[in-house]
Amino acid sequence: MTRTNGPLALAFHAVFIAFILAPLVVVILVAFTPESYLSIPTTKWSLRWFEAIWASDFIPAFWISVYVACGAATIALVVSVPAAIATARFDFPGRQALGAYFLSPLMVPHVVLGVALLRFMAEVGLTANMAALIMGHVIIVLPFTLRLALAALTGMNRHCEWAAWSLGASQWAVFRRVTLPMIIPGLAGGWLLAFIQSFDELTMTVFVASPGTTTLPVRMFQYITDNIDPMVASISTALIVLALVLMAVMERVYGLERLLAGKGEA
Amino acid sequence: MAFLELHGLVQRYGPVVAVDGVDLAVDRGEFLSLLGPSGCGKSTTLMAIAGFVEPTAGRIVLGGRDMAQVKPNRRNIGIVFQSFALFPHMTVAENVGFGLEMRSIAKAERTQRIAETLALVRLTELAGRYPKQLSGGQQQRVALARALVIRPDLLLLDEPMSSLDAKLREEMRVEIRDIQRKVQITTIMVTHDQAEALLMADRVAVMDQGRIARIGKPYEVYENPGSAFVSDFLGRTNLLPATVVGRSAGRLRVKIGAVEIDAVGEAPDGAAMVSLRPERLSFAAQGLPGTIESALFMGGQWFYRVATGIGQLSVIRPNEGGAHVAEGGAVHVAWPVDAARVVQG
Amino acid sequence: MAGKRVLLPYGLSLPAAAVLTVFMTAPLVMVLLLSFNSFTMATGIQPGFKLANYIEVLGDSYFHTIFGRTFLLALWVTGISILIGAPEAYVIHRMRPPWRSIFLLVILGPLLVSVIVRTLGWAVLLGRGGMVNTVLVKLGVLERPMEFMYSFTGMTVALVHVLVPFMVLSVWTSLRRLDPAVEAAGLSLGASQWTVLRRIVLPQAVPGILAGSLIVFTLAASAFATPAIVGGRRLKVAAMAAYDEFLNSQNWPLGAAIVVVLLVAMVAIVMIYNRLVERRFKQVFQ
Repeated sequence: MTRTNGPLALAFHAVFIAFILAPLVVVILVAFTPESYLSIPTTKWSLRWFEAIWASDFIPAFWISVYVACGAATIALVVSVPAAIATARFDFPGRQALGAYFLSPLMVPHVVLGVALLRFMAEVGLTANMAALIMGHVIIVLPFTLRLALAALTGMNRHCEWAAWSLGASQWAVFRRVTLPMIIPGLAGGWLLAFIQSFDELTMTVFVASPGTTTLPVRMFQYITDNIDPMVASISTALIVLALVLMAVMERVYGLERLLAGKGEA
Repeated sequence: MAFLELHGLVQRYGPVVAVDGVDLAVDRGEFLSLLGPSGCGKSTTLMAIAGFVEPTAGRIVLGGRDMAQVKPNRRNIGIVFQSFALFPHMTVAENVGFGLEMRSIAKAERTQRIAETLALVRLTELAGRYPKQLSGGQQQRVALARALVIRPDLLLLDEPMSSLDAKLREEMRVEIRDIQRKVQITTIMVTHDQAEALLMADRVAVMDQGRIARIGKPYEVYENPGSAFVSDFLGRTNLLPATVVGRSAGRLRVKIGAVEIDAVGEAPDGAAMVSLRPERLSFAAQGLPGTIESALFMGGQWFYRVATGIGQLSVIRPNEGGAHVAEGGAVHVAWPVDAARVVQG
Repeated sequence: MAGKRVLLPYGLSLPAAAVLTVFMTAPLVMVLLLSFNSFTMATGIQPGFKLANYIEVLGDSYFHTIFGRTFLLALWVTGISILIGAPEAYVIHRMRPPWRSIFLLVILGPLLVSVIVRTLGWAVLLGRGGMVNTVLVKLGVLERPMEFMYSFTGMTVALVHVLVPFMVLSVWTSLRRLDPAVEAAGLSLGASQWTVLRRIVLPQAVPGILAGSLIVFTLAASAFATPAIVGGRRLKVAAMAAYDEFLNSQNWPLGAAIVVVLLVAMVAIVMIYNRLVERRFKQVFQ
């Protein structure tokens, strides 16, 4: 069998992987510099820039991000589950159109969604409103929670629902006792993916962020456009570690390539 | 009045007619098997009885009660699915107890009935296990226990054996049959496996293209299939195009090719089919002359293909340990008169 | 099963549909209406229905440059992503099980890291004192450090890095459907490695390349963070221009017109592309 890669292919692969990892590795290295400017530490390592994070305004921004991401992921999941049941379990006029509508936020660039949310918040008098920001994020993460809920519903054995029904369970009891427990792992994956999406979101949020609703990516963006110093590198390193942990969890439970198809912002 | 009656059941999905007018009557305690190739409408009929699909036309009457307005959870029917459909997040005992819980049966009685039913299917020690920790046969017994514990009026089995391996399947056939006898529950089993249907059921209904082609006791249906489809579907047979040319004393005179033979059955003069079961054919000193084209050894029996004047015939003879007829040998094929049966094409 | 169950699916869909309508569709309509308003520094936003903003966006050479740059950037990023992403997907496809999933994780993992972090890495690497310059000067490719930051090249490289995982994922997914036995069969029939690649593997990869290109192109064309950080003010792209109109110049109607043009252009490109691809590669997708 000739399924092995030749030396040329492996060399290409090595360069490609180096290209993928280089910027992340550089950020991590710079984070440990003892200097006050960007440099890769060679002899001396320091944690001073990690200590500096605690006193900075990145910490409140981090908590705002967590708050927004939790809220957006949860609301998106709560409205996705019934919608997924409708499209997966019922045949009704308009089903296809509704399904397409639910996934339509994927088609709209974040910059457009940002402008739209800004205009909406100004128009209805909700400028700088946290709830409005969360709802904006709900729009962005809804396709992902919906897709994972749909996958969980279509992936489960439908006869389990029928069996429960014929055993005397009402439709609500079938959902609560059989369907929901069986799709919970898929829903949890959807929530996690939605959380990450929302937590990392910059382009939409940057349009509507105000002092009370500045998320971590927005704060970092503002900071970087002013100057780049080792502190943003140390925060970035912390975020990379966080992503590594989540990645390990998601890979173990679901398989990453299944989750990530089509996620995106640049 | 029978315990379960189907009157003119029709099930359409858009332009597709899955069930095309089924009438059926099943007595209390009876074990009926719906048999047929895939797509013949047998599973759809079962799902309509359970209430999962709404019939396009026709009535379903269970215990004298019309089921049209009765939802599946009010029908008191137990079902075993092909996939078993066990609840993966519940233990064996919780799976079995689910139906009792939905019926708000008190804890003490529930526990007792779960224990009784698990004993019936010989799973008492596995009560605390989860489905994925069980073998296929054990999972099936849980599914059966879960369906039986609610003391249903009717037990429906949807291809219950098809996800088991061959050996286990044979064991479970006998076991399910014994349990059905023991609890005397009216049972309808859907299967595409004719051996399973013949072995387990009191009566067999062979379905074809949404209709019941033949219904009766297994032996009767096998011996007197009535149509070419049923005779071919049930067991093996030699189906030969023939012409009915005369009749006398309850027998028909039929012509196959250039050969005229006697046959039983009923048919008007003209074109018909003759079914000759291979196991009823034998080699004798006199009979239809032929040449052995191939002789295949199958363990318990020999399978011959013989070229004759009426076409190629399959012949099955028991392996009696002695010499078999070699390929190329000249033989005479003989059969009792009632083995040649005229069926409708 | 009849009666109220007919309405049930609509009831179940209602919360999600309502959220989308209130927070996406209605705001988009507001933006559309806004784009017909007019604006002056003195009076602010004036209601009305004028095409002035569109005439400016579509007629002014300033905006021509911006949209042209955006389009060119997206094309370059897509092209390079195909050139490096598709072969990488094939290399991954041919790896043995443990390595395959390890390297898929390495390539897809960065998608879980904020785009800000990934772009920051490029800002560090591409700066005048950054590693890229150091290496290129040491290798003798460059005589003295070059400014990659705030350059079109830098923007392209950083965006390729951000988006190429989608190309790898997309191509790898369609290659996965390729039965390895087919490749082996091709070789055993006397085809050379190159012929197998061209006649068997490439046709199988084409649907993945086409789907991946669409994802990469649309994301590149609407990219904000990476061009903003690496490209800076001088090399504005469409998303940046909208940001400036809204948050710096305060000319919301003009900004609205920019994003409407961007959205319409993207939807048109996606639709035309799908139409062409469907006609051309109907048999491949079946």
